[in-house]
Amino acid sequence: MSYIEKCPQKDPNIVSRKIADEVILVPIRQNVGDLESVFTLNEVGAFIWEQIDGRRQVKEIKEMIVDEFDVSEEEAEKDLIEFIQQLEEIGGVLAASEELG
Amino acid sequence: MGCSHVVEDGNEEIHKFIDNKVRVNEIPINGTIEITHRCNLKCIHCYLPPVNYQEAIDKELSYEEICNIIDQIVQEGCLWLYISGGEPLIRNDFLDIFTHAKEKGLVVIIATNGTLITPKIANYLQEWNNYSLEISLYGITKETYEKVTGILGSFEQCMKGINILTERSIPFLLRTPLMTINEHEILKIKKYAGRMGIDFGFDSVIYPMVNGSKKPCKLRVSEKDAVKLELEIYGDVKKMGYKKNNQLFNCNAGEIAFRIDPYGKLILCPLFRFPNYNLRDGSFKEGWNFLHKIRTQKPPDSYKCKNCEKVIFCDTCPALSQLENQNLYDPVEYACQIAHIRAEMSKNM
Repeated sequence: MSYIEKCPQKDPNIVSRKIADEVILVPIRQNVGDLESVFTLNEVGAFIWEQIDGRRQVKEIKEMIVDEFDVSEEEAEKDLIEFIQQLEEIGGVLAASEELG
Repeated sequence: MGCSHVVEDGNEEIHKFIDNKVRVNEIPINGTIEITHRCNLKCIHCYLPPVNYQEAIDKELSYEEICNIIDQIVQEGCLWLYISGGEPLIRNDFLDIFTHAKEKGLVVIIATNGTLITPKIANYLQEWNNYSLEISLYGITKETYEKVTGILGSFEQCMKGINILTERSIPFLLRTPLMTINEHEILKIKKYAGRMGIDFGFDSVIYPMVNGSKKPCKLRVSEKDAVKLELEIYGDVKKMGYKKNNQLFNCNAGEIAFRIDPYGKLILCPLFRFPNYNLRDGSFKEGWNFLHKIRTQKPPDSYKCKNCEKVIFCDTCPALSQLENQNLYDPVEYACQIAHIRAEMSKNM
C-alpha cells in the first residue's frame, strides 16, 4: 500500500489546543517523541490536523487541501506527506495506519 | 515565589504567538493555582502567614472544584499552569490534580520546596511530558537552610528530593530568595546548580507578608550587595524591558496572567489579593474581566514613578507599594534604591 492510501491517526498522548485561533500541539506523555516542547501549526497545518481522524486517507486529505487552498495536487501531496511525517516524528500522529474497512 | 511571568519555552514561534496574538487579545495564557497554603516548613521570609491545618483543609478547593476551574481556564486559553502553595505536594490528591491538568493539555510547573518528593511521586511524574519543577533552595548547608526553614532535617529532605529528580532526569530549576541569612551561599548554590547542569536564579526582593507584616523585609540584604550579586550571577543587572512609563501595572498580571488562591479566589498576583473574585460564586471568564478592570486602572497625576527614567531597572509595582506603603502609588524605597544602583552600574558597562 502506498503512503497516500494510509489513514493517519492522532496520537491520544498529544493534546491539541486552540488558543487565539492558533492550533498548538502539547505532547503530554513522555513516550511521545523526546522533545519537551509545544508546537504551533500554521493555517494549512491546522487544517490538516483537523482532517486527521484515523479514517481519512492521506489522498483524501490532499484533495481537501486542493479544494481549500490555492495549490497544485503535486505540491499539496508533497507538503502533506512531509507534514504528516513531521507529526509522526514529534509523536503527533501514530505511524500512518492501513486503510480502515 | 516571584510574580507572574511567561515561561521561557525556548520556542521562537511561541514567543511570536504570545506577542502577536495572546497579548493583543488579552488571553489568560499563564496561570498559577495555589492548591493549599499549608506547608511543612516554617520559612522565616515567607509572605504567607501560617495556617491552621484543619481550618485550611475545610476551606480549600476540593479536587472536583480544582478540576472544574482547570477546565474553565483551559477553555479561556491557559497554556502554562504553575501548581503552587504553600507546599503543593502536601495535598494527598496532588498527583490527581497534576494529571487532570496534563490531560487537558497544560504545560505544568510545580513550585515546591522539594522536601516531599518521593521515588513514587518522581516515578509518576517521569511518565509525563511538558512539565517541570521549580525548587526553592534556601541554602547549600544544613545550618543556613534550616535557619531559614525552621525545621530540623529539612535540608536533608530537600537534597534527597533533588537527588530523586536528578536520578530520573526530571527537569527542574532552582530558585533562592536572597536574604542576609543565605547571602554568603548564593554563589555556592550557583556553582552547585552549574555542576548539576540545572538552571538557577535568585530573587533579590523579599516581600512583606500579605497580612501587612513587614517582618520578612528585615532579611533583605543591602541594596548594593543585591546588585553586586546580580552582576556576579547573571553578568548583568536586572532589566525589565516590558516596563513603560505612565502605567500603573506593568507586569503580565491581569493581561495574560492570573493566580487563584486555595479557597477559589481569583487574584492578580501573590501580593495583590484584594479585591478578588470568588470562583465559587461565578465563572473564570467573569473573574478574568474583573481582574482586567483592576489592571487597567491609570495612575493619578501625582504618581511619583510616572516619569522615572529608571523604571526599567525597578522591581517596584503597585502590589508591593500597597503592602509596603499601604497605598498603590508610593515608591518602595528598597526597590527604588536598587533601581538607582542598577542604572548607575549599567552606565559603566
